[in-house]
Amino acid sequence: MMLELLLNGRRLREPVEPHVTLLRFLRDQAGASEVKYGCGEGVCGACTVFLDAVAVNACSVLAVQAEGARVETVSAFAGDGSLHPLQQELIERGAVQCGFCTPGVVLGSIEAVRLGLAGDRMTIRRSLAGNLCRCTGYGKIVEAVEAYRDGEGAA
Amino acid sequence: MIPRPFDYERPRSVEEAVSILAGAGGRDAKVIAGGQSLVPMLSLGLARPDVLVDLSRLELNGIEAVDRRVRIGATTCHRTLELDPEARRLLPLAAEAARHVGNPRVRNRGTFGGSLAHADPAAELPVVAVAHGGEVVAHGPGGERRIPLAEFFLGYLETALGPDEVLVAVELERPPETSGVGFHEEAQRADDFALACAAAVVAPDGHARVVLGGVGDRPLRFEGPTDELPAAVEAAVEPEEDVFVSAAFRRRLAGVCARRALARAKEDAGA
Ligand SMILES: Cc1cc2nc3c(=O)[nH]c(=O)nc-3n(C[C@H](O)[C@H](O)[C@H](O)COP(=O)(O)OP(=O)(O)OC[C@H]3O[C@@H](n4cnc5c(N)ncnc54)[C@H](O)[C@@H]3O)c2cc1C
Ligand code: FES
Ligand code: FES
Repeated sequence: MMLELLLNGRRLREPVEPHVTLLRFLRDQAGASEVKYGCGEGVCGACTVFLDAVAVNACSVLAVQAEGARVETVSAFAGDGSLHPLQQELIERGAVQCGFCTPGVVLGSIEAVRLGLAGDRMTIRRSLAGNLCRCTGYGKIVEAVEAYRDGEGAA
Repeated sequence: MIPRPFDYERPRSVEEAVSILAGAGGRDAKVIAGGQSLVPMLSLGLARPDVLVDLSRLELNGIEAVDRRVRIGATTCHRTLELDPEARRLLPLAAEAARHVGNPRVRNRGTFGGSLAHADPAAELPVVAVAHGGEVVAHGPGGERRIPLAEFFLGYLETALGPDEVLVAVELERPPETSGVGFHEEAQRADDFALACAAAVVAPDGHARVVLGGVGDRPLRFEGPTDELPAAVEAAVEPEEDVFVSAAFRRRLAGVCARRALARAKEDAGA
């Protein structure tokens, strides 16, 4: 099938087989290797992207289901050489170690702050459910999300 | 893993979807809604359909009050039940339960119809649906069919839906204004399926209904005086042991969930 979508503002038109997941399409056909393959089963959140401005696990969506959609990866939120404020907070607080979970954490937490679901530490932790991090123990991620919420996120 | 190849159809009407399902002949045609159960199952090789029929362009989503019922369109996502103010007002029990479904991204895409059609015995929303009572609205080759919720769940991942039927909506009975509702779940982590969960509706006279999930092959419904129900639940359920917990522990959890859901419902009725 022919698939047309907007990836980080760029129009793509590519043939794709129906059984290819959006994750595999983005990584293997569209070169978006910032989207990570963790579990492939919807559990870990490493593959998080925005699909029409809603956070989804790209491994749990078929590429053909994104026909006509606007897809944004973490790269849409960082300019050339500049970082998104949440990325900056994560780095400054030591919340990035291996970094494999980070693209998913960034997108998931941007959505949580946008929806007003980062009011306190408990709600931040709840909204991080399904963003598995094997390195940091989450404490510093929660602090970074709080700082982002209190800074730019609140604007 | 990479799913086995299949054909993919994106019908523009329910009739077209049904005719693709009915016309599949010997091929295994399956509906895909949010894909939050199905796509992982495809990747794991646990589902091997020949054709997928995508409901996403049918505009079956939405929630509206109809007389004493609330009609939930099949593709209404868990997140809408959780966060939409009007949905929360109409269906507080579903709002509380939806919060426990998977993680935020699963809730952003997973649908109410998909959750009911999938019929995982540990899923929260089938439990809420049975606690409300009402009907599933299905479309098949013969047109519309209404299936009472009490007769919808037949067993592990098994429902009364035919292979050529599309679940288009669910109509839930609204409990009387004077009654209260409550939900309680015990799970290992915030985003896991329930080890056990319970949805309760309590009338001001103390008569109650509680529905248990995770402790049988389908949602289990109990009725009686509020104070007697938890013990009755614990005596009646026959959960199986699994890799996480023993049967005896799960039976205890059933009683605990019933007690806490009923307590919350009683409080809600008094409020
Ligand atoms: C990591 C993870 C954690 C999860 N945790 C939970 C949890 O805690 N609790 C819980 O309840 N669920 C959980 N889920 C599952 C999730 O709730 C799914 O959204 C839901 O079970 C299925 O809805 P769907 O729209 O995604 O259906 P799909 O995956 O698209 O379909 C599921 C099944 O239902 C059929 N189907 C779907 N819609 C229709 C329809 N309208 N008519 C006829 N047949 C239909 C499909 O053919 C398929 O067999 C989890 C999923 C993941 C990936
Ligand atoms: S790779 Fe998609 S959730 Fe883990
Ligand atoms: S930083 Fe390594 S998984 Fe989170």
